[in-house]
Amino acid sequence: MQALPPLKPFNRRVRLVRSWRGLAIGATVGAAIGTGWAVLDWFNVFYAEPIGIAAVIGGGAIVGAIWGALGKISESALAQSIDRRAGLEDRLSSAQTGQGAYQDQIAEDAEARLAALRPAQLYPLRFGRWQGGAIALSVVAASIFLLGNTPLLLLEQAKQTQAELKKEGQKVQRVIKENLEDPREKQSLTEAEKRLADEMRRYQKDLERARMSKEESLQKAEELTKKADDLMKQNAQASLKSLETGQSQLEKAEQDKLNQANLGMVTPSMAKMSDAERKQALAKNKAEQKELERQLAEIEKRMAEIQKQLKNPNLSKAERDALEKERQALESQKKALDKQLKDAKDQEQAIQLSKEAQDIFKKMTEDPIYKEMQELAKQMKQNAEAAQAGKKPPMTKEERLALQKRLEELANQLKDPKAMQEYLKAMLAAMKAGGAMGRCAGLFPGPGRLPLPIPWAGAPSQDQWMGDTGMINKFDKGVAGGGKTTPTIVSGEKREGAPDQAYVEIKAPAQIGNRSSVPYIKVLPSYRRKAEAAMRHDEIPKEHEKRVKEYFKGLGQ
Amino acid sequence: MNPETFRQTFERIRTEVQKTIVGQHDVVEGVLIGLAANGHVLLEGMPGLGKTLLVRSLAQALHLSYSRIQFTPDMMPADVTGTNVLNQDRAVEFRRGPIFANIVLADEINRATPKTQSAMLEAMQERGVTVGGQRYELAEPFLVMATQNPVEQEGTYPLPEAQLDRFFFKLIVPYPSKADLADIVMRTTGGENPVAQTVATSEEVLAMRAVVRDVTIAPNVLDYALSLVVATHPEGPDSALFAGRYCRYGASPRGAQSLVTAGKVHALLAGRFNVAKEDLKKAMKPVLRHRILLNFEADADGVTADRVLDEVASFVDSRDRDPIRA
Repeated sequence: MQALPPLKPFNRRVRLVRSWRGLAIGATVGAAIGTGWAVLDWFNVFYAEPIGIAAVIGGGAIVGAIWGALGKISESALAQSIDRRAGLEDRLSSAQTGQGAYQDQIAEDAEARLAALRPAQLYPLRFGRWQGGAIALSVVAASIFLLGNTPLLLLEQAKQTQAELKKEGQKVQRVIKENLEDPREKQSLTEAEKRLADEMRRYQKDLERARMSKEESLQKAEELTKKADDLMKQNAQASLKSLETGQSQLEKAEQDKLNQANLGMVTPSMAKMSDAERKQALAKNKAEQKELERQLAEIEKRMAEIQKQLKNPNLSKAERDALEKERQALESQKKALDKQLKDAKDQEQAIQLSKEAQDIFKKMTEDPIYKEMQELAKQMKQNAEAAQAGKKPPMTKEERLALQKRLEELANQLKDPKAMQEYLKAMLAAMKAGGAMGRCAGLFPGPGRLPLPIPWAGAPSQDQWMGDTGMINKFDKGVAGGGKTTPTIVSGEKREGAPDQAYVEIKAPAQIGNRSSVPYIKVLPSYRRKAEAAMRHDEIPKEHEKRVKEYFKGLGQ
Repeated sequence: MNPETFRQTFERIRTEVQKTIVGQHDVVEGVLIGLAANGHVLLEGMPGLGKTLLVRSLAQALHLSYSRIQFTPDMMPADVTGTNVLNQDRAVEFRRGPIFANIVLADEINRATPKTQSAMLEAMQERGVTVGGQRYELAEPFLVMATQNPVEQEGTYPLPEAQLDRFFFKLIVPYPSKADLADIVMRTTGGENPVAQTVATSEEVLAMRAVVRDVTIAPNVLDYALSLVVATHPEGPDSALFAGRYCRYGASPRGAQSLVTAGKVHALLAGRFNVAKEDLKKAMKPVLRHRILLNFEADADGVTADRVLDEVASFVDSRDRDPIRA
């Protein structure tokens, strides 16, 4: 029987053509996704990068090409297709049946016809609708992206604004990189910090894309600053708490040491006294004892007198009762004084013994590890207290990391008393909280306190961002006779002929200019009262009352 | 006989018949395809278009016996099949009717009563006649060409669908063109009167039929043929929209058999050993036009069976796509 005609060259060609088609389909799908992405980018929902859009289109094309090339091609389908395309009148598919009396003739006939065909003729690489679609959609995606990101269509002022926003975005990126993406600290980020970091990144992208107005950027900067500030304070509080725990653990460790030396009655503070202090303490103790003894003697004398008076039968009932009451009061006073005296005597003994305890304690306190730990604790406390007070922690990031490393080393060295280990644990916890506090402080230290990554977010400068919105009435210079403040008028009534939106609400940090040094908190109550009066007299439209109330409430917090 | 000899023989017969028949190429080819496919042919056309001449010429070309039955309403089945008669020797003798010929022209078959039609069609199907309990085989090759007059429907008995289904082909005999008509007039009114010569034998016809059966049909081509048939079914899931609107009944399985057989003959005539879809398309109308029953709406809209079949073919073609989308 005649062998079936070879279809391999056609098979290869079909794979190539399918791959070409798959590439176009994949690229079309990718371009459609890219277009969607560009639209999302346009509306600031999900930012796109040119490389990202290109990768989606390219990825789709590659996947499509592979899918097309690897797709299954059955021999019968190929034969039918060749029959159809070459007009072979079903010779090939009939030859494939392998049945019938004329099978040899059919196969021979089919082969002869096939020999005259070239695969490329039957399966040309066409530029079809999919290819066109891929290119068209890619162009659409690129156009949307470029239109959304090009400054060409903007006015000169808007271009300048964009450039400034982008510049600030780069600054914010540096801040994020230094504080939140440091590989040494990345793993120790808390959930709250991660959330803040995400918001920061988003903000940075918004700035870099210049997709927000200055007002929005100020508002956002303030919001993030407040969050960072809150987080810093929380962490500072946690750090201080851990330090307190550490301190109590240290005292326990010292007490343990004294207990071990049968000097339990001596407190660590006594053991730390100098000879002069001890002498002074002893003298004070003696004086206290003497005073207590004097008081006791007086009470005893008075009690004896009462006892004597009570024996008199001529006493009235009321007098007797009064004496009895006084006697009882004196008795309870005596008991208390006895106890105080006993304590004083014990303390005297403890002070006397503290000399002995001092030697034992000296060994412990002179241990370099102990000393170092005390020093570190002191630094950490200063750092945390500064942060809690709303100031920038004095410790730099490098110092903080070095401190943390040193604490970990000390923890390894310190194998001995359990209480000391607990102390170190608490120190490390405080250190970590302090680290988070330091990171947060590095993000937005707060308006008006430190140089910020965003200059208009409260730095004491002459920069007039707040006034340059073009949307609010603001006088750049003080009005003659109007004082040195920079008034910002927000009228409750719409001016005649004014556009629908006469002002925009800006929840941005109040600018500290050089023309006023009155803290706003001092003038706030009077302004609030005026606002409330204005509301009462219906000078402020009803729909804005809530806004005004929220504004003053926000300032008061 | 091999396919090449088949084609040569076929062409020889056709050439010879065409010597006497002017024009009507499709009809002649259709009749010859019916002969090669062992099927009977129903001719529909006006009187005087050369149907009898075609039968006679064909018989002469093949050196076969032929007979012509002019059907009338008073014709009895025995007039067709034959009957037992007492001969001079007082013995019962079967006197063969006109059906006992190789080629039978059943002229205006729709004028016979259903009883006579039934006897005729039964003989066509069974290839034999049973009279008085005795079966008489008909000669092979056996070909019936029945004619119907599309006009003058009064007093006729239209063939029922079941009987129509027994015809392999239904051919429409058209009026000759002006040129053909001139040729006809010149031939028949002049001194020259061409007569077909014998160019093939009955054995060759039988051999041709054997060759037809051996032609290969690929599964996808068979599927195409079946799709054509199924698409005529008005209520089937794969029916063509047009068929669904205008058909009362679609083609029967016998239609599918006939379509494939006719396709095979066409393939051989095209010099191929396999059936192509083109062959099926060529065979489609003569095979299926009498097998689909149109509804009232088709009559009202003036839609013919051929029109429905054109739409069916378009429908099936639209679904018959290249299996490789590249």
